[in-house]
Amino acid sequence: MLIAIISLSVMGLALGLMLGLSSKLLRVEEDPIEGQLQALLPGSQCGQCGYVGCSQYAAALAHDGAPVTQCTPGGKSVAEALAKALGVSLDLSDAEDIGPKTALIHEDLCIGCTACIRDCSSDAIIGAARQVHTVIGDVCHGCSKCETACPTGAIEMVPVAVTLDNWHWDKPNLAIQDSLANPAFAAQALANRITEESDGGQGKAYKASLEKEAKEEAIG
Amino acid sequence: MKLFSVRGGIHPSYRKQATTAKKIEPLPVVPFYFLPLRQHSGASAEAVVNIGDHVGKGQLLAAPVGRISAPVHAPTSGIVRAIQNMTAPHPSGLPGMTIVLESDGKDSWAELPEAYSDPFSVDPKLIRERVAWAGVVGLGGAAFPAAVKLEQSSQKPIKMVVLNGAECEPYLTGDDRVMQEYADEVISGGRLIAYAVGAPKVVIGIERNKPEAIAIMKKAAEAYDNVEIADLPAQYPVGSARHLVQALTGLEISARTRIADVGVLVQNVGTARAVWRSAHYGEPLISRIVTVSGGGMNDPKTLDAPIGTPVKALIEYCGGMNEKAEQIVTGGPLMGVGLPNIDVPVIKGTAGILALTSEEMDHRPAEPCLRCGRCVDVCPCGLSPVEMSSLIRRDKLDEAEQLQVMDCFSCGSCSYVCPSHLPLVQYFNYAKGEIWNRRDEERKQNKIKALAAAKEARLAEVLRQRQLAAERAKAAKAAANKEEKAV
Repeated sequence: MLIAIISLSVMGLALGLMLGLSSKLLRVEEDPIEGQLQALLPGSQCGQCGYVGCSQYAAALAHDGAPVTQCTPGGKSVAEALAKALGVSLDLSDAEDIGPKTALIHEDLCIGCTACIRDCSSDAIIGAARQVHTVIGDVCHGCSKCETACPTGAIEMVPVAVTLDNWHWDKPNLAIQDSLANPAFAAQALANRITEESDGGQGKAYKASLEKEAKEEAIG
Repeated sequence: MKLFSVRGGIHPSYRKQATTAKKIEPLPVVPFYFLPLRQHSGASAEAVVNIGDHVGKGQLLAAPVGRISAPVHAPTSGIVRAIQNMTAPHPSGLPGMTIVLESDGKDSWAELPEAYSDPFSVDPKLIRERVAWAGVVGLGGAAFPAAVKLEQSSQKPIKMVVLNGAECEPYLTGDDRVMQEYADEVISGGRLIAYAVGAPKVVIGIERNKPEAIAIMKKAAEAYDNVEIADLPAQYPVGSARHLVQALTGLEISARTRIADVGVLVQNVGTARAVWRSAHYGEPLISRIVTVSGGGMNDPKTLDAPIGTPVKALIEYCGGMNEKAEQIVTGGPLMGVGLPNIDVPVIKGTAGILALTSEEMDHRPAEPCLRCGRCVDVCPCGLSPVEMSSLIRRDKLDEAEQLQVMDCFSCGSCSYVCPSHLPLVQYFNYAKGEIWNRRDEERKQNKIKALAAAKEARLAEVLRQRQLAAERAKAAKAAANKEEKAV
């Protein structure tokens, strides 16, 4: 009995001491969520979100509850990743997803001033003074800083083209689970689908009943 | 030989009788050929001819670029009329770079490389180089450059070369006909592939629904101790390379393992014939066997069509389409895809052109899932289509990825058996494409992040240098002032 009490209290004290010490010694200065959020952001410091750079936006997300939909180059996928990391729900219904964009330099307007090159945070524009500049599509992430910097309006942000390399099948459009809300499954729509050819006149009675139902729905 | 069972699969009605007994017919020369620069998996080839050039049959038109690529050769002699973007034979209908060749009607050969009368006496490396030059790709449909596969396999101990003559897709009879009419060339090609990679034996897998081909191939293989014919059960999709290897060796290969890593090299029987012809005759791959069939086709046939022939010419040669034809499909009915129009050309991967009628397709509207689990039973990859599709429908692609949707190879067995006619494989095709694009996007983001960090570091360094220079200038000025005072 005595041995048990003594051994347990010694163990308790020792473990408590260890916990106390480790909380002092292994203390994390920075909020880990901030670094985690920053890693999700594009990291090009473009400032489209309204903050100075990505780290400032990450801090605002972590502490001031800034909205997760502010990152323009990141688009929908970054917004989703941020929402997931922060555990907030994401409402994209009012945010229009414009899709990825890339900068395009109209060569007849470019005067070779290098203003865009200086502003580009990912070195995606090549060119020299008084030489036409061009954009390396694969490293442009569409932050549109260059568009603002260009004095002649030669830069346009264009949607990234769908090519044979990045094309994929569309998502099948299926509304069966939401059939009650789907107009395609309304009684009248179903009735319209029953035609002489499709059922050889067998479905007349069903069609009539569907039409009756549709009328009742309209009145109700 | 001993066969092993493969899980899942379906037994569709094969509908091969329309063309299985008809001899392969060569397609006559047409006025224009359209040669997309990308007919294979991997990077696009690059044109090496100019507009207005006169080219001979078999002359190189476009050279491969990068590690995984294949060249394109002229299917006939004529003049290059254009190199431009044209609608690709792809379901998207998007454009791809295409060489337009106007035939001069002479069909005269260009100068070809040396024909090896006995290819087994030349260095295996030369054979692999020849296959690369000839632009041979997997003719089963995936169109993976054959030379790349040979090169990768030659660096590994290959125990067995498997020739795929399963042809499990309904309607298609191209491989069947090739084995019946060119059995010797197929077997020589198989032996040559084995020689090129140092493999001791060749096994040719043929589904039991092709008894004539099996009989002819068995007879032709008698002369060789190391060539064996395996008659496989008729079970779709046993013609998928991984499942074929499983049926023959019992080894189940994970989606992320190369087949060559288990010591097996798989090539289609048509590919083996093309490999043989490239070495023995010095011929590049400029034509392929195409099955033209389907309920909407007036006179179904198996054709030897030059690459680049418009699909329309094949259909016209087969008596045109009847009024019931509703959809033109390239490939088989299960894994094939619709064509944007019939002006697009036959390419190296075109195994079939089918004109399907509405009775041959399933237009029944989708109904709610019954959770019957039949899709799980038939999935040859052991996936769970019922769960994956419902996740994808709700845009939960990450979760679908965890259920290994990327291992799906789109055989379509799940959609085929679904009693609710749900577009299951269509969901997986969408999800796979979207996940690929996301991975690509992630790769791009990482590159941009690295570049942005590099630029920041560079700017900081410039700033530091400037400060240093300013300090130095200040010090120099101060020293000069001091000197002045002293004077």
